Amino acid sequence: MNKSKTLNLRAAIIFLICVNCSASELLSVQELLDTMERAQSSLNYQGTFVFKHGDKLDAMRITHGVIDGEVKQRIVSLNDIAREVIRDGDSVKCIWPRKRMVVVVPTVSFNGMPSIVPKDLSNVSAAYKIESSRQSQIAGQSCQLITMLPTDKYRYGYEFCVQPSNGILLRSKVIDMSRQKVLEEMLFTQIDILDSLPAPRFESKYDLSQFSWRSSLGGGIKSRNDDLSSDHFKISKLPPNFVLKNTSQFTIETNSRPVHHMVLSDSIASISIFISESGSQDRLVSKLTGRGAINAFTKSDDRYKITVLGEVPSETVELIGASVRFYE
Amino acid sequence: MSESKLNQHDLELVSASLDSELSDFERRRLNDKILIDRQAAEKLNRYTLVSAILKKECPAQINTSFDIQIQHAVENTLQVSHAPQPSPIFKQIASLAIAVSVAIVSYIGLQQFPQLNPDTDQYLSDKNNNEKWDTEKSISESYKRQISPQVQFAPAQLNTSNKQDVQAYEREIEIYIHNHSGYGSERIILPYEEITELRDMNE
Repeated sequence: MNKSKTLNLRAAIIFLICVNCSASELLSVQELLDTMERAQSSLNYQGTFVFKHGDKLDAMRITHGVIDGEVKQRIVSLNDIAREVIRDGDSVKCIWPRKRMVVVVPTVSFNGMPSIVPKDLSNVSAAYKIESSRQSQIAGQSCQLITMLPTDKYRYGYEFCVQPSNGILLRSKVIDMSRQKVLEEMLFTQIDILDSLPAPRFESKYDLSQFSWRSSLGGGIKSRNDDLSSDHFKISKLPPNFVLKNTSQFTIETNSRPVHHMVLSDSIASISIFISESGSQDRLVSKLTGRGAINAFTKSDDRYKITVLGEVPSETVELIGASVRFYE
Repeated sequence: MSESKLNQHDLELVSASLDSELSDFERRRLNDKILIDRQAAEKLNRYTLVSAILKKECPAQINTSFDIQIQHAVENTLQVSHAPQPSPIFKQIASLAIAVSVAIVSYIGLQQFPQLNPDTDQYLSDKNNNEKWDTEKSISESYKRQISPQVQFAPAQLNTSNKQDVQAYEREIEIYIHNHSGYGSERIILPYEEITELRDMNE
């Protein structure tokens, strides 16, 4: 009887130690992000995820690998006609089979997924309250939950679940906090970590030589140019903690005049501001909504046209767009 | 008492919460909202009660006014115990009386559960009649719509009658989205065939 009691006590102590161990195993959020970044350039894996954006749901097959030190990735949609995204190093090919079109875009994508994840947390804490909590289970893998709650109404909330040992992002959510609505969600349903992947796995199934190819720039060249400098306009209302990250100028096929592009970021959400000469007498004020988390706002007068778009609430793009003033 | 600030969407979240369909994060947001809204908290209590009844869970485990009645009965019992000690026969009669009163309160409480509040009736009525609550129907229709995304091309409603202008504008937005994806946003934006909605704010 005494022996049985001793055994029970030992079991209870071991259980408590284990519980304590698993709690202490939680990584810091920055450690998780670093592990994610390393995973991008070191892991080979294949899996299926679903991506919900707005009222649409897409199932996608992803193949990710590293060949000769270069990151390669292929994402293929499993429903509707198979659209593809092929990443080869720093460039991405978006393939529209129905339009028989390939659009080549550069990528600064941190995680290779349609999910928005911060790279580092140095500037995030001013705009978001960050929490890292319990471990969860997704696609048969354990993952650690991170939540980022915005401190104001000008940005969305985020929720991530990252596999702590290999750094794979297994789930992500973009949440409109004011409407309490999940705008976008990515969730792995199955994933296999592999030793290696052969190069043909990253090739398109279409004969792309028969497709029309376009650059995201619409034939223009991205460059710095002072033709339309920031001296010509002023943004009087910018939500807190958004800072200018990049500025450049390029031409697009629909407009012979150069387009000035500025990128603002709060380290998670990013906003692009495109300014061009309008070339039209039409006054235009319009919005684009409904593409998951992306909102856009456009206005023009007889001289300039401004388009503000980004993964922020519509109020934010409107606030910025409406506050832009031009000077001669 | 102030008006509850819960809207229809919040009520749907409450329902999802009762069905354990919310993530911890969403549940916490909802709880925070409910905690500062007394009327909403009372409503949630009633919904919890109805949910428990529907799930055939023990109503005694739920915090309701019924519980409070029981609690009062217990407190009365405690007060009686502090009084000078009565005779053993009186003690037995008093215990029996308390037991009977608790049983009567329990019976009356249970009889009154379905008619607790018009909100409760509304909840049950919605659950039975509203298409939104008809899980089978809503899942099958929304599922069909979601897994078979049609190319939805909502024509732009802009201040121009020139179709070419509209197409050029849409093309421009597409290019901007790609540029945003390439140089601004640190994520891959998947290729979709449609501009979902372009609308004129002046309308």
